[in-house]
Amino acid sequence: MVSSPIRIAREKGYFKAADIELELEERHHRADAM
Amino acid sequence: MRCDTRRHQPVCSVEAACRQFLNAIASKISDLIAGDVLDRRSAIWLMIRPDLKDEIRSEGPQGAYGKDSRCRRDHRLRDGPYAADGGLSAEDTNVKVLPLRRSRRIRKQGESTGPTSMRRMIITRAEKSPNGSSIDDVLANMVVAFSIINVDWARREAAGFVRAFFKALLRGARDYCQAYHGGSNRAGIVASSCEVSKSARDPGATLAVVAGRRDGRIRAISMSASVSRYGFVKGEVPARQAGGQQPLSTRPTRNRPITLENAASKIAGAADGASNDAGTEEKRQKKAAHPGGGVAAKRFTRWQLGGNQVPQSPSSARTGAYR
Repeated sequence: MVSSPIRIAREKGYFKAADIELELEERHHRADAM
Repeated sequence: MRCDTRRHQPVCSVEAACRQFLNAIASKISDLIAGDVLDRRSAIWLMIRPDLKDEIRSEGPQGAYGKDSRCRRDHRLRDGPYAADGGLSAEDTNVKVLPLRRSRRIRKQGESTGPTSMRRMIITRAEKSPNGSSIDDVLANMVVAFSIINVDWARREAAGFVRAFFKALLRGARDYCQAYHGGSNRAGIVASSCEVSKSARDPGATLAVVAGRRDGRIRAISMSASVSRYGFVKGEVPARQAGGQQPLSTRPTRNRPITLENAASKIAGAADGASNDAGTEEKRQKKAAHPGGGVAAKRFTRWQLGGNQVPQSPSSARTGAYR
């Protein structure tokens, strides 16, 4: 599996530490794909 | 066209991002290109038609074509290092290409607008791949992300913000690399990945190699082919305007190379696609001379592209650090 670095960074709080809000849409593409 | 190819260059010319990139150039938008590309080498397995899953066991060829069921256009999936063996043809593949869609919005605290990353998914319609991955795994793992940021905006009011964004992103990338090489955070990253990819049901879940371009060069022929293939790029974009042929390894950089916690890691091709390069003795020797860390550092020379848009002297490449 590949875990997105951008998601890891968000979970680790790296973006928050940089005063950046990050909106990630995850897993929503599954319905589109099928 | 104000994209300074000496400083800005996409990670690769994958068609997933190519159309957006070329349209941005054709529209005379001053674009700062910064990208991160994630995929897995096993993706090529997933191109194989379901009814051939028991017959084909090797990776597909370079330039294998699938049929874009939505756009009704032939779409070359990869022109990467998969040509060495396999022997697949268009008849062996069954691929669906999803439209590029906005997936992320990033902004500074208190702001309502900001750059948007775009992502395109390329998946197979097969329910099961030959290597046993489920479609859930495919959807979770096959991510091609590309960030396109307006240079004017960045220079005018957000240079620090863009830099901070990619710095944070690369910290995440390095965390992944540490985990991949068996670092102390591996369990946490695996658990997190399982949570997202729905692979938790697989007790043998492992982190996948993050494949990448080997030399960081723009494939001008591939990009030009994409223009004609897609057919709906706004204007003619000479290949030289689309990034030139400068390898990313020459990019100015200030991020220090990653130092692996697990220095003993000898995983082939780690986070680099380097296993694709294993054909030459020279590369094998270079790999042996720099086990683990060298490979990872090479990979992140590309990943750090977005975080290093400010020109710097080559000497500064060895001095910067952010962690």
